[in-house]
Amino acid sequence: MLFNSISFVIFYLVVTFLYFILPFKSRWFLLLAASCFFYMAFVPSYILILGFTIVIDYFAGIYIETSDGRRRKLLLICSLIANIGILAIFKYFNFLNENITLVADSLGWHNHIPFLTMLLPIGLSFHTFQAMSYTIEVYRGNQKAEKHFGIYSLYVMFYPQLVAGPIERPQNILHQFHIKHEFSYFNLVSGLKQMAYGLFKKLVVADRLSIYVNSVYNNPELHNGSSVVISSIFFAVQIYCDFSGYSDIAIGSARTMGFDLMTNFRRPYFSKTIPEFWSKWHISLSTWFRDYLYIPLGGNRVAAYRRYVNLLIVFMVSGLWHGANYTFILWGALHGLYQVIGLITKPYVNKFETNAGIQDNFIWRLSRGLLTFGLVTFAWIFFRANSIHDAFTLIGNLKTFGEAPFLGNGINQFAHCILALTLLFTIEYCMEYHPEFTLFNNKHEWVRWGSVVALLFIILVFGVFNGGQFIYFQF
Amino acid sequence: MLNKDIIKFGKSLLIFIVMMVVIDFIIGFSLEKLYFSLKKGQFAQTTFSIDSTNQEVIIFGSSRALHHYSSPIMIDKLGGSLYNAGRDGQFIPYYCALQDAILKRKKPELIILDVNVWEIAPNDEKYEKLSMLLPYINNHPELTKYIREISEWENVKLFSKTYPYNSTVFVSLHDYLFADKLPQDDNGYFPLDRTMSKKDFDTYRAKKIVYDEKREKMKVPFDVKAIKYYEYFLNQVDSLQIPTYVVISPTLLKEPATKEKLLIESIAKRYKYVRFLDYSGDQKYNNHFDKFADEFHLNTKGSTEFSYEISDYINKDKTNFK
Repeated sequence: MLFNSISFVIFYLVVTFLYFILPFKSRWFLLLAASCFFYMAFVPSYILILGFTIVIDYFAGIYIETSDGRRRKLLLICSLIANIGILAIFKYFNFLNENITLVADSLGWHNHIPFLTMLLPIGLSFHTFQAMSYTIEVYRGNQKAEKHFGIYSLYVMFYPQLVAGPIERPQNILHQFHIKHEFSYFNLVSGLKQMAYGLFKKLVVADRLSIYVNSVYNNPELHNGSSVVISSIFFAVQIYCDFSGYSDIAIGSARTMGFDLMTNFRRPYFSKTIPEFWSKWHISLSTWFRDYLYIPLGGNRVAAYRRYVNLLIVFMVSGLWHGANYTFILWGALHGLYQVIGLITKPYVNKFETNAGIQDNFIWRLSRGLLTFGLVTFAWIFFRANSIHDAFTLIGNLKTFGEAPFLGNGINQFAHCILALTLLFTIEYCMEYHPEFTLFNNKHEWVRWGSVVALLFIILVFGVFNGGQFIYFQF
Repeated sequence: MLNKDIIKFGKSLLIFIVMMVVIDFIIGFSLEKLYFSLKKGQFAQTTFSIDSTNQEVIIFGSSRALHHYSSPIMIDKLGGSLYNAGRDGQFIPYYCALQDAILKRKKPELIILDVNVWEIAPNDEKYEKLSMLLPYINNHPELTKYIREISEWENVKLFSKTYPYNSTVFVSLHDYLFADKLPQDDNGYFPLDRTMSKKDFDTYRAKKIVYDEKREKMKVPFDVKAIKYYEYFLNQVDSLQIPTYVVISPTLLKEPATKEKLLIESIAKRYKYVRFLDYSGDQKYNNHFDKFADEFHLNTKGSTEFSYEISDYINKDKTNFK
């Protein structure tokens, strides 16, 4: 059940209505049942996998809390192995097997290990990481173990963020399931507005740009450098709108019921540096890696070279988290490299800025922003390409930059892309630099109403209604 | 407090729904007027194809049909009336929908179905593009089954008066405002006057070799639904005894004998009133970039030559149907 489908609209309306009319004591059950239904709409049997890890982590949490010393650590390790094991089997087994086969073939051996033919359970990486954050936080003593099995299950399965995040921490969300959320006009309206904006990002921007992006990236041999540049910029915006659009719908739909989910995106393409980009992009995942991998590896409190290695490791693992393909690993490695180069050059850049007195210079800031966007966009080529070979074909095609670009199936599509980009940039620019100029929360009622109605009709007139699923569902 | 919020929300919701319905009606009505007032351009041609086509010879197909079959030449050679109903970016489900709309009015004497070699390869676009039929659904109930191919909720979306005109605004406005500057079709046919350069041809040839090799390795499955639509089209013409030519019109480079191409041919050959003609390996066109406007379409020179050639063939062959 996709957030951009009529089925979801009906599901959401029914669940939200029932949530407020049911007595508080039965609301957890409604949300859990609704979440199970939501998940089972994809592949019903995969709920058993979730059930397996939920049972393990539920008991692991309780026993970790009441244990100490080696036993406590052992319980945590068991829980992590179960979670990572499931992820490894479904997501990485075939990738590993493929590589073993390649090595075996080159040595003249025959690899007899069969490949798995099962589909990857939707959103597996997201709920695995959310489940792991629970047991780790209980182990660290930052979170009390949840005794209510239903509430714990809901923590992992809460439908708005079940399949593509935000990857919540138990400290932020778990206690909210124990609180009675009263019907609130403000929550309902602000949640619905955020959902509408998420739909705009998905239907008007992401799905429109994807038509052009897919034409180029699925036939890399047929396109010149100009088309590669345009499609890569389009993809950078597409993935932002696709994923942040999903997050907006998730956060908005949870808010209508009174739940506060963590912010996942803060207009990352206005960043001036790569670290700033990562502090604004997929925040729930980047802070997860910071808290549970980067800091345990030593964080910033190690020798410089060790820190560089740690950064490379974290970003490569982050790439691998996205998918079992060398394209993702290379994407992660590239971002790791950007970070390392950024750290090495930072003192020189700072010194240059101070000496030249250009810290607040508009042109300088714009140049840094464009450079950051360019680097991020270049890395997206690896993320989007269907294979490493395709990625290098596309990069190789850049030498023909300057030739007339492919404009899609008629100028109509391209005009829609330009309109979508203009609307998005205008709205996001105002949000970033002129927050006082707000449409959806304007002090004048007619502006608030007008902007919401206009947004919905922009979706209706210019949106793509059969654009398909969200990119991050596959992870 | 609780009651106050619920009442406030109830009132707001009511106002919101009324506003949405009224604005939807106004925008939808305006877009409908604009759409059906168009005299030239692809929307006007689609409207004509669906609402008014009643010629003796009808050509179905994609942009390759639109640009490859010169109506004036073929009218001259074949006699009678002819309409080229080819449409940019469309595939077999659209041809079937159009066939249903036309057959409701009139039985043509001859049909030419121009197919692409990738017609029955999987491609969701071919169903999504059926949204082009949405503006016609009120007057053409026979199109309902095709609308359902777009998505299962299409009938719900059609409660909106604006939705059928989704993504049409730019083209409608352009075709309305610049109608005088738009080229006039000749019974549906649109010639392409430009000629492909040698450089573009060489680049395309190099890329096509890589593409064909890659595609062969990919083991792409058939689009079973598209095959059914293809069979549906041929069943209709066969049962009505309409002589029909399924044609793969000339291509810039020789198309390999892909499984899709072989299946298109073998299905066509099952029917008594259907002939299959394959020009994708014709040396008169292959590598002759001077006869092409781009990688996929013949230019005026090429389409003129091809139109004479196929008309002559049909004139010689059509008596065999009896």
